[in-house]
Amino acid sequence: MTAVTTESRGSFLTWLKTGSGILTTMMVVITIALIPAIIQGGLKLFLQRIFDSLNNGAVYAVTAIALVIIFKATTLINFAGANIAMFGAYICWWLNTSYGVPIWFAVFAAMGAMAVMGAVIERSLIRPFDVSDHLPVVLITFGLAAILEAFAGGFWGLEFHKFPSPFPSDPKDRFTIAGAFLRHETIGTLIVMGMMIVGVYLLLKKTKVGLAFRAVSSNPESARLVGVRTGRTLQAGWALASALGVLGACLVAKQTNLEPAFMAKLVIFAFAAATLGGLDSIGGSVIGAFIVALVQSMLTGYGQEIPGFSWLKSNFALVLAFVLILVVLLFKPAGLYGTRRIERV
Amino acid sequence: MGFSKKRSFGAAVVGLSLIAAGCGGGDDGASTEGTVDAGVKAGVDDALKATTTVAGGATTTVPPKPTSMAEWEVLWAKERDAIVKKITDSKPAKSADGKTFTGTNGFVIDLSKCPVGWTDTEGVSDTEIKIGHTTAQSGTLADYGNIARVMQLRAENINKTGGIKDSSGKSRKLTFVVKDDGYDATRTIPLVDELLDSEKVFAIITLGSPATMKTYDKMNQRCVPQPLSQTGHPAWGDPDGHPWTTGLQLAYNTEAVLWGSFIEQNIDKIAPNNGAITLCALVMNNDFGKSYDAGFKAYHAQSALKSRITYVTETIEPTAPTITDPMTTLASKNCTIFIAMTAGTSCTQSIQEAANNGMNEKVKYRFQPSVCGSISFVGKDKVGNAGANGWYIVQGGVKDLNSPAYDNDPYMKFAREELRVAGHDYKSSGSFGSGYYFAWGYEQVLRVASALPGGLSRTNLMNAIRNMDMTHPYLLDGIKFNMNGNKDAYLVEGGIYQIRDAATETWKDAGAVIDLSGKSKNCKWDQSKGICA
Repeated sequence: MTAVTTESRGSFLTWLKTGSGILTTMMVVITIALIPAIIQGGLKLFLQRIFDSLNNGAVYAVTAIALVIIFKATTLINFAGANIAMFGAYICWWLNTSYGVPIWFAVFAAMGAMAVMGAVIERSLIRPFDVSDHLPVVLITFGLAAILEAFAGGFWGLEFHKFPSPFPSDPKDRFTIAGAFLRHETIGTLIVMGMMIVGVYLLLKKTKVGLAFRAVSSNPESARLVGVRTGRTLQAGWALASALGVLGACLVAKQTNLEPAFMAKLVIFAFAAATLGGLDSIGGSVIGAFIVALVQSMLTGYGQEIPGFSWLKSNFALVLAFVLILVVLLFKPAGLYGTRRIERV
Repeated sequence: MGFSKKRSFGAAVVGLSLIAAGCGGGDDGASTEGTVDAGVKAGVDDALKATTTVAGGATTTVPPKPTSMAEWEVLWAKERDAIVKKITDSKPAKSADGKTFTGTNGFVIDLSKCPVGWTDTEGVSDTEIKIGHTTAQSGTLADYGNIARVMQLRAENINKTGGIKDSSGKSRKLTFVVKDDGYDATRTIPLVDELLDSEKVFAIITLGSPATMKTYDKMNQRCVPQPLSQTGHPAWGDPDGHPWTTGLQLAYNTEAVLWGSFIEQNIDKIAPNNGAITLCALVMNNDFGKSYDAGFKAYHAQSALKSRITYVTETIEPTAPTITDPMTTLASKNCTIFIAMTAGTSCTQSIQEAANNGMNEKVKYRFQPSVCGSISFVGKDKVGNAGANGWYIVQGGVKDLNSPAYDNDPYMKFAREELRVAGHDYKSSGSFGSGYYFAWGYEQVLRVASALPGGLSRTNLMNAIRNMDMTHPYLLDGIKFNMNGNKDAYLVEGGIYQIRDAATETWKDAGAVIDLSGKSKNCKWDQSKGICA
């Protein structure tokens, strides 16, 4: 009996030293530190922060998913992804406000347009380069991001625009739960995000394209040897990521307002989410997004109530995102649900 | 294990460093040492006493304004002549050794520390005046780049009609060399170097408090004019320490005094029987937001009603994509008054969030800063039909190019038409109006400086700016556009309380124009404390 207890204690201590253990410990410490402030703030405020986190988490998640799809296929961070999505959101807004196209039709049209653009970008700018040499491709995506931002500013102006919400968005469109407001927009975004995840899951698991995609992301050489057309598959991945990015951008633009840099502002939080959840895990990145949003909301909201921490205000949201990225990269580089890559020499 | 410990230590160091870095940027405690400008406060109090119950009343007698552009041109020419005469009569001159420039009304520039090779006329040829401009044409505040578009448009049209005439008979074309810093002050610094060393410009105009703050020491050490900077930070009113830098618009600390005075006037209505109130502010974490915050803290510290007012702030980064979390925090503080000390998209977001989180119903007085008064931030198409209704603003004495209230104003008609001909829709950006506000100033100070004995030079330009006294067509009646040598270092001092009427898409006066001309003390900025010394 004693031996078993010692063994359990030993395995617990071992787990504590792992990446998951360290991250869990940090979360527990943060939660304990915040408990007095949470109690003092009351249930209404606590619930409101949860609802805010759900909203922000959904915003980060939809942005992160597009990043993950490209990373899964190529192990590349697509720095142009956010601005491809931004460009699509502009097309959606333009169709809706200039031609009266109903908002959801405009969203789908923009998704289609940017899927084509994503495919063209892959074929013309990415495929000619050796994917294993990341630097040129990363530089191309950086350049592309700047070009798209400049074009958006040139076509539609530098001023920000109100984006038509795909959901009921009047201030009164909300549920009141214990005094806290849960907005219909938040629920709508969560539902669409859920559908997006299920759709991507089914596409990857149940279709030939998905099988090919998984084969290429697992081992492009082997996939090529068994007859998978890797170029076409990666092109489909770019198209899919671009279209989903647009959907995400159209869901969040109502809150951020539409301007050439609006997705660039979000992308660091999406990176934090994807890094935490696992850069090659769609589900992980979504969970990561909600954790990032929750930590930000709770820490910057309640943290300043802790004696000596009055400086911990909302401007630290960005700092927290960076700290999270660093901590994850140091202690659990694959993220919570990412694939740990082992290379044999 | 050893590696693991090192890794843990490294992570801790990196994490703490980042937190410390953020802490340095976000802590706003030091600014409580500031003091309120007694002249401004007395001026505001007097104006409010005179007009407390007379909404829309006037405190000063305003002469009739021109009704056409031709009449305006006649008036401006007359005013320029008067300034030129005033300056000429004062006999401004450089000392025999060339180390001091003694201007008008006590304005003196020490030229002894100007760099070797410095000349008073660099950037000015017989045919051209080359002026550098750093602005935001990309990034989150890219809309401000439209100010530069107007400046260039005005320059083109001024050039077509003969350019800027010199007292020696030369006629020069005006060229703006525009550089995009994306509203990132770290990018402004090398761009200013490029404008100074490669482009060799005559003067440099910077946009934004952070960019101007990061470069004004250098500009003054290099003895290069930084005229009419596009920011309302109080630090630009320092003719002794920084003679080469000036602002134009209402200083943010003066705006903070106007907020404070309004609150003192109305506190008994919202908290009778000596009740207490909570004033909540959303502060942007940069030199712009901090100057508002410091100004209000200074006001709060000296207020006789200090014990009745609790001041609570939340801070946001300029690049924050959403501001839901900080607005939730503020909503939980039972605010009686809310002030957005922000710029750009976050002005609009603060209105949207206040509508969503119930602050619109619960908070009686909600203020937007003067820089967010444009229809581009508070229009129906941005915040919904009733979004901004009932919000207050201390309008910095300027008109709104987009407002139908000015459809018959000759200068507004001129500006709208000029934009239309150039292919711009004046309603598409609030910054077009700001462009005319600033561009008119640049044109006039260049015309006055060029007409002075010796013609256009850097010292003449600064002396001209520091002695301007003209009627700005973009300012409300009763707001002056003047400086007085070293005695008064602010061009525009004054404003008006207004309340938003969403139905008519206009700001309605909630009091009279408050003219504070000459009342602001000069400001020797203490960067470490974040206050005017």
